[in-house]
Amino acid sequence: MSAYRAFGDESRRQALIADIRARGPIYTAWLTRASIEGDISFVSEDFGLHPALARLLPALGAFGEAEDTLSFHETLFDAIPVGADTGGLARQALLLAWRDPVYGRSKVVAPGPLHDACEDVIALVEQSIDAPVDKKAWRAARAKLANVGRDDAGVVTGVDMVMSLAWNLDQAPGAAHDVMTAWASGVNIEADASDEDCFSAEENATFETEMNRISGEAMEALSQKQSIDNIDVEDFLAEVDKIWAANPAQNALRLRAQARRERSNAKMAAWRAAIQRRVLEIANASLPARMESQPDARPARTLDQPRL
Amino acid sequence: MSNLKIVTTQAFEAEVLKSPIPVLVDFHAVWCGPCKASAPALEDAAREFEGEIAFVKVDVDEEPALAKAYDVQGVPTFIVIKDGQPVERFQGLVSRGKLAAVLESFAGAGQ
Repeated sequence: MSAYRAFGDESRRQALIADIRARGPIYTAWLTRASIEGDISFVSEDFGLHPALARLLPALGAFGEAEDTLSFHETLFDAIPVGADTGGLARQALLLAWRDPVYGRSKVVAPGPLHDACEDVIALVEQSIDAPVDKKAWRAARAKLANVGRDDAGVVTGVDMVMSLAWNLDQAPGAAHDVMTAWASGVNIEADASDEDCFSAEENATFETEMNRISGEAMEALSQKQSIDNIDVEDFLAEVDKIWAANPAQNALRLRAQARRERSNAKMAAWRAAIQRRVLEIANASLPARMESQPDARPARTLDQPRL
Repeated sequence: MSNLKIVTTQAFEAEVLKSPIPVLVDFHAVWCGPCKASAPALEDAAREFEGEIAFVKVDVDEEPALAKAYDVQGVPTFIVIKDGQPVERFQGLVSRGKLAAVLESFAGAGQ
């Protein structure tokens, strides 16, 4: 089990909550040059959260793209008893990426040798919640998974996600971020594919070609007026809008694409909310049991309960 | 300390082409965001496969001849070189899952 113990004392928990309240969603609050390059070690050093959990939290909050994540993060921090080892919580949360009955990727990999190889990895993740798993076991499970053919492109993101699960999170906590990225990608693809207004292959190709052409044209037009280094994003987007609008036939395609993106985003928001609820359930159910030796640990809230 | 060795054109033959073990070459650039974002995964993989696969970095701006020789069109580009020959290549931000999927087969028993 890891050397990280949550918060250290109650004041550190409150300091963390105050920090993200003041600086915005976690992804924004923790955004530094080092964090972009994968280093958010200060979260573990200052607040005692397992590095894998620290890497999960921005992803569970949609990397700052959702505005409704503060409540989730505050509730989760309240659910974690002071002194808890949160490595197990991170592993249990990651298992949802495979096992959740609605959003887990298990369902995209058909029963057979490939699914079995994925399950071998999942078994190791489960084992690692309570006891260390040695490197040989991880390597053997990964090698088995790597050697099983996967011709169906539809399962690739699911299998890549499992391959990211097959790492010792105490030594490679960044794998938690990889799992969440692959998971979100898979769910996003699924949301797009199930949309009521999917593009045909021809429409997809036309749209992509037009997008690239118009982006280039907008950049060219703006660069006539100013240095390319000084082009403002807002100006660029306004120029792109103008060019699209000038061609009603192509613009109709763009409007359909935008509407589809909004529908997919809504599906992703529902997914995120469901997974956040599941993570809180896991935290509420498992952490107090692991903290029996600390009878003064506070009971957790649910997302529906107001903060005191 | 980083497990990713920076390799120049002069050292490429000795460090990569004549390496007794497979080498993952990371063609990168200092200005490239996905290259920086890929670095932690590469560090983890280098530690995981230590002694079985070597990991080196080539700066495409500093070593344009190498980039041209391996037809590197964008960064990051990763090429696995075994016995002096490129045997696998992929491009873009890389995850630990992707690295494991590619590298396990080159790592042999590795255990």
